[in-house]
Amino acid sequence: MKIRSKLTITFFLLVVVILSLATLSIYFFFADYRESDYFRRLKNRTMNTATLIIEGQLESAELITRFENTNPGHIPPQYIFVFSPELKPIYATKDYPPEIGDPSDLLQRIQEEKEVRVTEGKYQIIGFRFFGKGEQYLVVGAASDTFGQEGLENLEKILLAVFAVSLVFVSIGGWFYAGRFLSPISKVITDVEKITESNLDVRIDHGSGNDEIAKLARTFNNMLGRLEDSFLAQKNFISNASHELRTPIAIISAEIEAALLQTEEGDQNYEVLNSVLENTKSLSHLSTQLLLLAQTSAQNPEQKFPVIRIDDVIWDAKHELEKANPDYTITVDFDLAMDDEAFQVRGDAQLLKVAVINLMDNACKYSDDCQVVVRLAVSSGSFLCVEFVNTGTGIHEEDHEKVFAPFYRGKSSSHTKGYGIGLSLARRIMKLHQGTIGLQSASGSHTTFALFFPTNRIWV
Amino acid sequence: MNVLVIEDEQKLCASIKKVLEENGYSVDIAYDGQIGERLALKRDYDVMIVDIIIPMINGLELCKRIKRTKPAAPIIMLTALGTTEDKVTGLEAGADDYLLKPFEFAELIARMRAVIRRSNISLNATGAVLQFEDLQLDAGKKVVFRGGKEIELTAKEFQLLEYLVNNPGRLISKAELATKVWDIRSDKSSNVVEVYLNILRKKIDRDFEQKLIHNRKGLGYILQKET
Repeated sequence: MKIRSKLTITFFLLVVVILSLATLSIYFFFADYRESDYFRRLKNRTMNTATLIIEGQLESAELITRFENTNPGHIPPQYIFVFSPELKPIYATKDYPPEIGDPSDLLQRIQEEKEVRVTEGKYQIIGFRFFGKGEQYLVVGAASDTFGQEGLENLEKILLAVFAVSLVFVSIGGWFYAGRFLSPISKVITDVEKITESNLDVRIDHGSGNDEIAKLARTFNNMLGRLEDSFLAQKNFISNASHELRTPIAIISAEIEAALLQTEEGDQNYEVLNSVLENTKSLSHLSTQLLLLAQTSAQNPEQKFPVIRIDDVIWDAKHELEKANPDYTITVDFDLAMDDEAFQVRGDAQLLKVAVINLMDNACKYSDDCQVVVRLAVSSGSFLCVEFVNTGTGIHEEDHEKVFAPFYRGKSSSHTKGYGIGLSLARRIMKLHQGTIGLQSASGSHTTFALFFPTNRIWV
Repeated sequence: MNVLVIEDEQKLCASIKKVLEENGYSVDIAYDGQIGERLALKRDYDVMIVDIIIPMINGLELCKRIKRTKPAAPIIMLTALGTTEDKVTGLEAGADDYLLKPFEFAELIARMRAVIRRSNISLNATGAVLQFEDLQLDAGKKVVFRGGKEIELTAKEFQLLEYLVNNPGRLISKAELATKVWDIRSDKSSNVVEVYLNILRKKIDRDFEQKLIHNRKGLGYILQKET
């Protein structure tokens, strides 16, 4: 998840929690206040009415109750029950609603607790001891707070509406401000994304600020500086190592060749010199391949290559390899649909020749008959495909990915000369050309390596 | 044959001198750029072998200076600098060939012969032009013109056309072309000849009224005026 969404959601949740706590406490405090206030007023009324009843002015009491019942703004003791000291009912409002229950159930509790407050449904019921005419009566009053309940419901609606509207504003505002605070980071990201191996000298604009983002940009710039240095150092190392390695090998091999001229065939030294020369050659080959491997990794994969003809590269490679290994047979075959434009790829002819020679050489080395068939075809989509097919021991399924790792040598290669660099070098070279390399093999019968080059043409 | 070797590694120079003299060349050696330049300009050499990293004058600079006075003098760069860029700078400085250390003498001698031959051809380049109708082939410079317009061919396409122009009016089988141009001896059916002839016909004949290369189905190809 993006930081912007994370920030917005966290902020939103925080506000939800605070706002709900505030809303709920407002609601409950208000509800509590309403209830106790109503009980207080209910008790007053009940006491007044009870006084009238006990003093025998029953008619006035009923009159007041009747008047009051028509006035919803006042507290009427809608229902009143008076019990004598012997707990005998002496007065009860007629037709009281069943929610209130039997008031005489409360008498026991009133005796014990002095005053009892109960809420049944919408009715609030209060019972207490009342002293009149020198005796103790028990009085129960019940009423529903229509006005207060309506106010409470109204408050509930207002709170819910305010809650919902605030959340909408909070999420929009959160999203907006998170974006605004993060936009300098996005800018840094876009700037950094534009930097590749080829323009390591570019630096990110960190503005004049001193905040974390300016610090981040400066940190990136410092890192870019170090990267640039190490890239340069690596490049220099490759060319220096190249020179330092090649010169002594050149001297050794030239001296041996010169010495061989003065040695007769059959001479004891002749064999030794020849074997040293052979090994020097493979040392020279190894150093060349290793340096190429290092070079191709240091090269910028986005560089633009000139348009070349891949068939030229293949003929060159075939010629060179057959000259060095007269027992190799390299057969070239083209798809009949190929024309000069189909052969065109963007590439470095030298590097591609190295890749092609490596694949041809491998195919011959690991075949039964020192033969390889090189097949060029346009594959579906926009690819030019170069296949190298041989018949031989094949490659085990489990080795298919490993053969491309540098210095890896499969089970079948233990009897063959080599260092396991050719394929990884070929893969690097193909990567540099935005191409791919693939392998298909049936263990024990044949192997096909295929190079795929992207072309601008779409084949159907 | 006179050879000048400009190279600061004395041991390498000694070996090169020994082997080349064994092969019938007479060899002069310069250990730095200054002496090398003086020798190169004073005497006439059939080929010069120049290292890039040498004292006094850098090999690339030296190559440029020699070419300024003697543009036809063949120069082979013999160096340990192996990237494609190095090679391109070497060739841009005027070198005729570029050989990477370590090298084999067989290779060095073959390349020396090649540059000497090329410089001889370019000296008498006039004699090497082949002509068929309005088609002109310069075998020395490896360029082709038809109706005065240059046609770009790759090395193999040029070889193929050269073979056809050398055998005008004769029906040439696919197998013969495969053997002569590509050195393919197996009797396996391959599309190579057909593909290249299609390319060649496209490049040579497509934009012209008069077609020169004709396909006799099943028999082969023939270079002739349309009848």
